[in-house]
Amino acid sequence: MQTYILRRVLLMIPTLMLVAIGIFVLTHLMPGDVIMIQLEGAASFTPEQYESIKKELGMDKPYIYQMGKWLWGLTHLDMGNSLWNNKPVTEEIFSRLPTTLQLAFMAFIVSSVLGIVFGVVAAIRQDTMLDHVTRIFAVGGLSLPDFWVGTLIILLPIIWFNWGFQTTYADPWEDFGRNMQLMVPAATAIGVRASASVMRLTRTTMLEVLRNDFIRTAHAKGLRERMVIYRHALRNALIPVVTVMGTQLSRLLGGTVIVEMLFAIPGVGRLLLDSITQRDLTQVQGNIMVIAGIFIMMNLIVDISYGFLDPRIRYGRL
Amino acid sequence: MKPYKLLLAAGVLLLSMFVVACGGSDDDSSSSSTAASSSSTSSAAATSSSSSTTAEETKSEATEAKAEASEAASSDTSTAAAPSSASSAKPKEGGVYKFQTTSPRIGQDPINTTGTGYFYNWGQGLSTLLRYKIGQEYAVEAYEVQADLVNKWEQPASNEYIMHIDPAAKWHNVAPTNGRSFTADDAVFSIKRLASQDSRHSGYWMDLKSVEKIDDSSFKVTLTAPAADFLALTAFGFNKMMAPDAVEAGGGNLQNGPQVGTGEWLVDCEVDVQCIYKKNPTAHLKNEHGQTIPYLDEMRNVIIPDVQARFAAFRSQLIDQHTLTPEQKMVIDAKYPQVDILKAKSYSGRMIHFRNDQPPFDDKRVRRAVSKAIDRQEIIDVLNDGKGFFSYSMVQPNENAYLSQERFAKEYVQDIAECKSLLAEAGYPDGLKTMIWIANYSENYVATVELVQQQLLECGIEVELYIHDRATYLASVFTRHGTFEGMAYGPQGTFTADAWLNAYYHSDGGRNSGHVNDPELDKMIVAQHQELDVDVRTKMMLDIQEYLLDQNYQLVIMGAVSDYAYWPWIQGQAFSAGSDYPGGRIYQYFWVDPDKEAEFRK
Repeated sequence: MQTYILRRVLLMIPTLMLVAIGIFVLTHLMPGDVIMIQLEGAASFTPEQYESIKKELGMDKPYIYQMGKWLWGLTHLDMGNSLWNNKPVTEEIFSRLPTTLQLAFMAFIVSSVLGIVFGVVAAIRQDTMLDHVTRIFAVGGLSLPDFWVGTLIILLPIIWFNWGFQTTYADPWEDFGRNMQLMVPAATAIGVRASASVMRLTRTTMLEVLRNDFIRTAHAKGLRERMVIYRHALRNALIPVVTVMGTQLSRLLGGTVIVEMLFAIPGVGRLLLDSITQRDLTQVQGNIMVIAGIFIMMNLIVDISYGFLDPRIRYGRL
Repeated sequence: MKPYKLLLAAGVLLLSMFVVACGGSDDDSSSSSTAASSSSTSSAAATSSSSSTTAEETKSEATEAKAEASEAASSDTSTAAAPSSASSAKPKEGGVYKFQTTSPRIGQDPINTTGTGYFYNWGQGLSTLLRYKIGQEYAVEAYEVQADLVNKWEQPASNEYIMHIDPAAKWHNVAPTNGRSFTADDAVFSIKRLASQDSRHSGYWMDLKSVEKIDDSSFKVTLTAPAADFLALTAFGFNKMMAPDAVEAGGGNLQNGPQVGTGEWLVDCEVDVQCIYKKNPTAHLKNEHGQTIPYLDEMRNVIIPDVQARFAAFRSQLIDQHTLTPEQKMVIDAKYPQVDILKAKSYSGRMIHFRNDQPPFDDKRVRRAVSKAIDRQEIIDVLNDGKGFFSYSMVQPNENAYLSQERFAKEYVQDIAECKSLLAEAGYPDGLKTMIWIANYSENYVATVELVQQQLLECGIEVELYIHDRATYLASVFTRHGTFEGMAYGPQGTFTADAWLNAYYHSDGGRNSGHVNDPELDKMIVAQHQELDVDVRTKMMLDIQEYLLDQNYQLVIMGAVSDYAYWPWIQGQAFSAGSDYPGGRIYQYFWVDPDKEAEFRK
């Protein structure tokens, strides 16, 4: 197991380097230019002025030099400075990362609770009205994009009750109540969609487990229905669900991009979108790198967790 | 009740809420579309007058009020008289005003950005040497300057200005300036910094030859040649004064602060969340009643990027002001009759740019053919709720320097027969194919071009649409010499007429994206730039606009009229137009009516 983990961690290094090169190339293929955006409202500018700003931002150097500098910086966690506001990229990201992680974690809780509860209920009441309703909910959840659900969450209280959600983000350590007023609806917008796939998988695996012999044995022993469902069936049914939920956590990070914009939450997702709009390439590179790193880490954790969740799995050579 | 039944009931309830929600939403949009169609039907009859009525009403209000405030228009000196509020009532001091912006990731150095984001946020803590007169009694069509940090100026020679600093002007009482007086050294330092190569605003200072301190309270500006708009540019919102000691404390720039200025507000921003503005206790400007400007105790600017979330925040009274889309205007009209709506003309004109150096648009007849194929009134009626006017994007030096709406309307009548005849003359009897680049700034921009596309097709001009994001559009259309092909459509900045002509139309212009190269026009631009006689320059400006109408290097589509909604307790609102650009200074004249707030706030 330890050797497996070590090998996986070592494999992460070339993976991240390849990701870094890919990010650099793709961001530099984007049309547009941060300088032109900074000069958008300028009455006039000269070619000399443009070149001077380019030099100031380090954009006058050949691409290969810029890429080398970016890769070298990564080896000691220096992602350079933002082209937009000259602040260190890592400072911008890590000041916002806790907010995004909080949102993703809350969305994860929403999706897990809704997905597992509805999935179990649908399975144990298979082919009843309840099953049909939850399946409609699941299909609806898979079909509706986060931003649409989020827009409804914002608009419906206004249309119905002339009441709106809080619009100003607050740090949870400073004002927990205000933080929750914004984060709960945002997490719900992301979580509802994510819960649909969890629900469908939970239902399927529950149905499969409920047909096993050991469940029949449990019933024959005279165990109460609740005991059979929760202690015997659900535990076994959750093994594939948990792995899906693990990979989903990293996907939820991606889901925060639009929802952070919608609910005005100052997180990494919004920073990424703003940086793309502003063509702040160093910031875009840094943000994607961090998200990619988290994604790779989550995959590793999920792979390792298989062994703990299912004793039948043994790790061999890669 | 068994748990699963409870769950079922909850599910059914959720589903029904969803259906009702969709119904509610549809209801809004269907009422919108009904009203929109009825509005376009009714406005079709009144269209030609509706757009000009707005302009005429504005003009007449402005003219009447200007007569009462004539002393402020002195050419060589000015007092710090502030404009009265819209209702002419004496403003009440105190209160909090809450608004929103979308500003992402604002830095703190004014020379590094030309985006309105900075100027609505950190920029509110800084001020300019002169300021524009803002208020409903002043013409929105012209930049009229008045005192700010400089309270008196002289012009000993056509290219020289001696400026005298208001002795009451002080820096904020925070480190490193600690409330010291604003001096000539500060002004000289700031002007040099603004005009430097690293500054994004150096284009406004292209005539600067030198700036020298005379004594602590006065300095002399020498220009390379006379510049008629020099004072107007000095008052432009980008040209903020910066403290040398603050720049030094920031390590040579203000990117990370310290945030200190001479402005009316002490600003504290939490980037991407909100800015809080506290009234500067040492603010030096006073109104005609002796009240210190600003009147409010505090402002709060909440950063809300999403348009629906912004409207929801306004409806729930979390913010006091919102710029309405036509659909939102209908909701407000139907459900919130107590809301005040202020109509404001935007001089950020919407124009079609041509590649004047490439076929087919290097031929004047083809450009004119495109103009004749476009039905601008249809664009105004169908996509802009019947509100719009014709104008080049430039803010003229005075009201008389604008071509009349009638002149534009006469020229801009759709005439498909003439379009076809012009194309045939130019060698395109079977029509032509071209492309148009657009920026997806808003749905309205894209919809406008789609409508233009249909209109051009009537004349046999087949246009392919290239929709780009803002950054790509700017890089291809906004450059000194545009790299787009065919045509491009997008917004234009609001500048003084002089800056605008030099940027877009002079062959050496910094924003000459259409590759205009017309020696005759160059001469006219240079001549008006240096002409200090108001009447002569007015005539020159009218001649230039006539010339542009004839050449069609760029096509005016329309100037927009926006609806600004305010809750009724907010008083003193006025047109912001060009005179407030890049924004926020108008809020210094807002005040809160506590009686109305008590009556209308939930």
